[in-house]
Parts: sequence; C-alpha cells; structure tokens
Amino acid sequence: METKTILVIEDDANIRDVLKLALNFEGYEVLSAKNGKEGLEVLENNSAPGLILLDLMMPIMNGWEFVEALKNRNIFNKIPIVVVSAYSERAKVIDCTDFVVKPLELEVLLNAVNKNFKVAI
Amino acid sequence: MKLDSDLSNQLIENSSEGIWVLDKNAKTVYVNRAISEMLGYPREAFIGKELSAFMNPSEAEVLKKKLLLRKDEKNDVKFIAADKSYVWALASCSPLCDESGEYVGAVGLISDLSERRKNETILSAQKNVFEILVRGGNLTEALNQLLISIESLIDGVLASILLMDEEGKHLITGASLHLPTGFSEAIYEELIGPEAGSCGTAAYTKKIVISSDISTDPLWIKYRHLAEKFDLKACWSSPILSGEGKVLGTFAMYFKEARRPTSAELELVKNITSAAALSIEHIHLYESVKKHNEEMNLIAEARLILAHTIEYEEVLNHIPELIVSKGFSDWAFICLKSDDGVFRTKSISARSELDDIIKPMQHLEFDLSSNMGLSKAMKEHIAFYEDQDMTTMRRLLADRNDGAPNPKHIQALLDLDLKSYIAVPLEVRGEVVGGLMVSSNKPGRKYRNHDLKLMIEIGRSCANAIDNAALYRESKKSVQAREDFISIASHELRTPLTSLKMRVDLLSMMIEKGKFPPEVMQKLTPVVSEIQPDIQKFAKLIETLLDISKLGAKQLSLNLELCDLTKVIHDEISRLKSEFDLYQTPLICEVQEKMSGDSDQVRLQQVIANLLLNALKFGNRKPVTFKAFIQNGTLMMEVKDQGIGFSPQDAERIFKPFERAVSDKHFGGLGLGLYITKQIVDAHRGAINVESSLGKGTSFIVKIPIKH
Repeated sequence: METKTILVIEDDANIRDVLKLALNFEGYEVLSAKNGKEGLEVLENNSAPGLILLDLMMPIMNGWEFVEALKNRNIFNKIPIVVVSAYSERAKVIDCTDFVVKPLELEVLLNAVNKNFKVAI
Repeated sequence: MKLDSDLSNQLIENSSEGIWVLDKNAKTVYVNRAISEMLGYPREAFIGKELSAFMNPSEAEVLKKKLLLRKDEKNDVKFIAADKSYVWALASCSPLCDESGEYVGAVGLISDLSERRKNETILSAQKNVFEILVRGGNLTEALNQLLISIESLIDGVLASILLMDEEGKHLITGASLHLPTGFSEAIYEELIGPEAGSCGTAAYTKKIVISSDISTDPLWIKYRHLAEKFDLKACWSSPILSGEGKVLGTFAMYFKEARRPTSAELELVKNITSAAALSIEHIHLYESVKKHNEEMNLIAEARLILAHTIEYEEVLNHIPELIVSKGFSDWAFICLKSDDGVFRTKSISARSELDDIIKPMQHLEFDLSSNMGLSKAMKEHIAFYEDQDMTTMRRLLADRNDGAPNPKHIQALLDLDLKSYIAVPLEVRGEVVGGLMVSSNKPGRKYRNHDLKLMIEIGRSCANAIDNAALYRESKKSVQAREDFISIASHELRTPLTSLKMRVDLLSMMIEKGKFPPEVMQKLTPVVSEIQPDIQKFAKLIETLLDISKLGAKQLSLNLELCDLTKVIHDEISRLKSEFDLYQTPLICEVQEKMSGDSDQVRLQQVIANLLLNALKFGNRKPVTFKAFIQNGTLMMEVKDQGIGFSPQDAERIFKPFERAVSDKHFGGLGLGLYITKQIVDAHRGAINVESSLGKGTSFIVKIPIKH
C-alpha cells in the first residue's frame, strides 16, 4: 500500500507534535519543519508529500514567504496547501487550497486534510 | 437833570468800566483809572500810544482793521498787562465826531472779562480731559488739554506735568507740549528732595515752589546748568495732590525770563493743579481696574491652556508665551526638573526683538548652588521679586570662580538689560519640580507685590498641571501594565491550550473509534467527556482576553460583509438556547424575517451572545426577551430581562473593563463581556443604551447602522 505523506510546517513544537499524532492516527506519514525555510529543505530532500499543512506566523520564513518561494519551484506548486491561521481574513488572501481557523478543531482539520489530500502522481 | 462837566468827569474817572479815548490818529489821549488798573500801567504810560502797544502784534492788526471801518461794534480783545499776564476784554468802540460831523477820534468802553475767560478756559479744558478719559484715551493726551489751556492763558509759559513713580520717590514726564525735549529727558526719573529744583522740591514738601529766578535760586543748584542750557529762567511748580493728600505729581510752568506770578496767575495754577489731580486719579482708578481685568484674564487664559490637555510638556510651553504676549513681561521662561534631577529651561519666550539674545538660554542647566534669581527661588522654596542690579551681574561675570551661575546665563541677562524680575518655584506636594521666571527690561516696569501674587497664582496652576499629568501618567502606566499582562497571558495561554484541546479531541476520537479495550473505554469515557467542556470554557476565556488586549491596542477591526442578518442571529440564538435550557430560563425571541446588510458576522454574534448570557446570568431565571428588527437602516436589537437589575449610578460603569454592577462573589466571569460588546458596537459606529432598575430588570438596546 502506498504511503500517504503530509508536510507539517509549524513553529510550535507542541502543536507540531499533536498534529503528527493526529495525522498518524488518520493513517498519514508526517514530515515536519519549524519554519518555511526548513520546509523547503524538507521538500528538496524527500519525495513530494500529498499535502502541506502550513502555519502563517513563523520566524525566519513565514507562511506567505513560503508560498511565494514555492511558486518558483515548478515541481512543488501542484501540492495542495492547507493554511492554519488565527486570521481568516489573511488566510483568504494567500494563494492556498484551503484553510482552517485557529483555535483548531481536530475534526475540522482532519476533514480539510482528507478532502484536499492528493496522491502524488 | 443836567450834569455839570465836573460831575461827568468824576463819573468817567471812577467808572468800573474802562474808558479809553483815541484821537483821529488812533493815539491815546485819555484812559480812566479802571484801564490803568486793568493793565497795571500808570496813566501816563498810555498817552500818545496806540492800542496795539498793549496787545499781541497779530491781534492788534486785526483790531486795527476793524476800527478803521469806524463802525459801532463790540470786539473781544486780549491785552497784555504790565506783569505780562493776559487781560481779556470786551471793547465797544464808538467814533467821536465834532459839531460839523468831522471824525475826531474814538472812544472805547472796555469791560474786563479775564476772570470769566479764565474760568471758561479751564472749564472747557476739564471737559475735554474727561471726554478723552471716557473714550479710553491715555493720560498724556488728557493732561495735554490742561497744558494747552494754561499756555493760552499765560503769555510765554512752557507748561509740563510730571508724575510720581510707583515708589513715590522719582518724577517722570506725564505731559509737556513746548518744554524742550532734551530738558524733559534730562530730568526724567530724578529723585525728589528738599532741594531738588522746583518740581522735586514741590513734590517733596507738598507745597507750591516759586523759583522766580533760577539763576539765583538755591533749590536749583543741581539743575542750574541744565536750565541755562535750555534758556529757562523761571519755574513755578505746584504739587498735584490726591484726595487723600498723596503726591501724584507736579504741575510746572517754565518761563524764558525771570518772573513771579500775579495773584491771578497763582489762582490759575491752583485751578489747573486740581483739574490735573482729578484726571490723574481718574486714570489711576481706570488703569487699576483695567490692570485687574487683564490680570484676571491672564490667569483665566493660563488655566484654560493648562486644562487643554493632560500632556503638560506641551501646554507649559504656552505659558511663557502667554505672559509675554499679554505685555506682562519682556522675557519669561519655565524650567523643569529632568529625570536626571537637573533643572533645565523648558520653554522660553520673549518679545521678538530679544529672540537672538535668549537663544543661549534654551536648554540651560540651573546651578542650584547659586544664590540668585530662579536658583534661589527653587532652592529656598520662596517666590520673590527683585529689581536687577546690573553692577552685581557684571561683577559675577568678571569673577567666574565664586560659584556664580552659568556665565552664558549672566551674559544673556546683561544683554537683556533686565530691570526687574519675579522668580517663582513650581512646587508639587512640597517638592520643587521647576520654576517660573518673568522679567522686564523696560525702565518703568518694576515688579511689585501684587505682580508677584499674580505670578504665584500662575505658578500654582502650572504646578497643578504637572501634578495632574504625573498622576495621569501613573494611572496610564498601571492600565498599560494590566493590558500588557492580559495580552501576553492570553497569547501565551493560547498555544498550549490549542495543543491540549487537540490532544483531548484526539483521545475522544480514539475512544469513539474503539481503539481501547472495553474495560479501559468504560473508565476513560466519562473522564474525557468531563474534560472537554472545561477546555471549552477555558478557550472561551482566553478568546475574551485576546479580544480585550486587541481593544487595548485599538486593533479591533471589523470584517464587514453583506450577510443574511436573520440567519446570523438565528444561528447564534440556537447555539445559546442550550445554555438557557440548562438554567431553565425561558428565552422569547422576535426576529424580523429577511433582514440583510453589511456586518461583521462573528462580532455581531458575539454581541448577541454577550447580552443574552448577561441576561441569563443576572435574570433570576425569569423569561428573557430578545427582539431584532431594522428601522431606518439601523439594526435594532433589544435584550430584556426581569432580573436583579442595577442602580442608575452603575449604568456608566458597566461598560468599562473589569467592572460589574453587582458583587463578583455571586457571579462568575471576568466582567469583560459588556466592555467588549460596547467596543464592537462602537466599531460599527453604533450605540448601546441600557435602562435598569434595581430588582426589576435590565434592558439593553443596541443600534447598529446597516448598509445595504
């Protein structure tokens, strides 16, 4: 059976950890990164994930910058992105597939992930 | 009855009317005794002379022409008497003809009108004086009227009025018309005394002083050369006394020839002097009222400025400016204690022509070891005035090593040529926090006790403003600290709470999906189901705190969208219904159908939730009614309970953060709900009103403008 991989980019270790737990529980493999820059590095060194779960407010490289950086890399710009943010109005502006609003409801999050996950071609 | 010629001669001779007979060549052939007495010459002095010899040449010319017409008529004439005084008279001339009708001469009947004329002149001068004073003219202008009248009444007189200065020791010019300016300037501000010329002596002794010959008068020793320089030979001076006998000044009459007054002239001097006294007293009264008004104005304006804003740094800047612009001072400044404990000039203002001189005074540090001026006032906590002694200043500047204040400061003071100053310490609760200095460089402007009182008053207002601002800053600081705490606490709490909540959600999901053995499940289920509502409550509290911190930082922004208001409201009510059910409180709703408009959906629901939960909390389980409808483009929402209510004095308080009308022992919550509600309504440019009566219930009405 094919592995389903998700990249979680989130600066808070605690939340990163619980997201990993929950996604594992749903049957996903999880790659994680502390910020946008690390996220790009993870993408370079691994096979493409089926979805990116992205926080916006992060040090070093934030969510917006990450999305911009991704646009210039053709292989990755097909990957769906689900943005996690406390600011729905800001998430709307960003070029993403879907967004979920903080405070996170696990059920809502998992629904968004399952809906948008795309098996790598 | 036929009069014999002796009798006629006697009658003519003794008539109280003057009789003057001229021959056909207009030479005098006869004057009676009355004429001789009127003009003060012996009878023989007239014989063979023309009338014009006893008159001003120009006036004589006019009269001569009239006489040539040989008409019977009356003319006003002004003679000059032997003692040089003027004699006003009414002259009626009749031609004399012999039996054949030949013109042989003329006879004049001369009536002395001098007394009347003098009285009239002085009266009209007095009238002019008061007219000038009434229309607010200045003293010099008014006194000039008196000088004009006296100069028209006495030949060759140069009249002047000197005024006493505030101290009562020096005379300064009040008015003068023809007295040489150089002379007036030279005697300006001369000290009065027992041998100080005519005026100085008259002011000192309060008696009229007649110096009929300056060249020999011992009172004039000191000023003789000066008088000679300006060709002044005689001076009569009369003290001008107030009703209470205080010397207001002197009235002086100078002559370019040695001369003593006639009794008539002395009488005139007395009249003019008393008219001058009235004018000066009137002006003094007027000026003191005017000054009092100006001072009241100055204080009122200063207080207005100081009350303008709570930021005293800004408003204190305007105070020296105000004092200078009102003409109270030529140069004023305020210094304040900085955070490092050093006193520095804070704001400084001066008449524009002094701008360059005051530049080095900006941001000057005050050396409190100095025993002068403002340093002294601040060090010793006393307000005082002082006339500036420039010699001391020069010595201090020359001798810089004796702990003298900043030489730049002294140089500026010297350049300003200060005459007088007031130094006032600014005290807040016994501590000197700064000082106010006002100074004058006009010779006539010397500060005295009541000026000091005025500046103390202004200083007190300034100190008060500083104190208020400090208190305000303190309270602002503590509010800021609380806001900072809320902001940090809420952000810090949110992250661990998010992960905690997700972990619990995950756990409950695992239970649902049957991931545990049945016996574990049985024990785990109630634990997890009890944790979840607590976490919900916790999350809600944190969201509230976050809202507050955003409001504190004025971040509350609305996300306005066209929405189905009816649905938004119904959605929220159905969410809240379970809460009402839980507390067995009926909720009666009337919501208008098909309402729509621009609104921030989430915030609008927050308003409804806050008001309904508030009603639930304080509603005593009695029915709560909710109404929503649109009226004139405004969404109206009314929430009414029949609960405990609150008293009118609490109505203003309840919209403030952490306030609650009732004691917080009985009711949970942070007391932030209504505060947030009001902020949201305000952000919508709406209004929220509350009506309540103790024990009867409360009703809130929210009005939010809705654009379509």
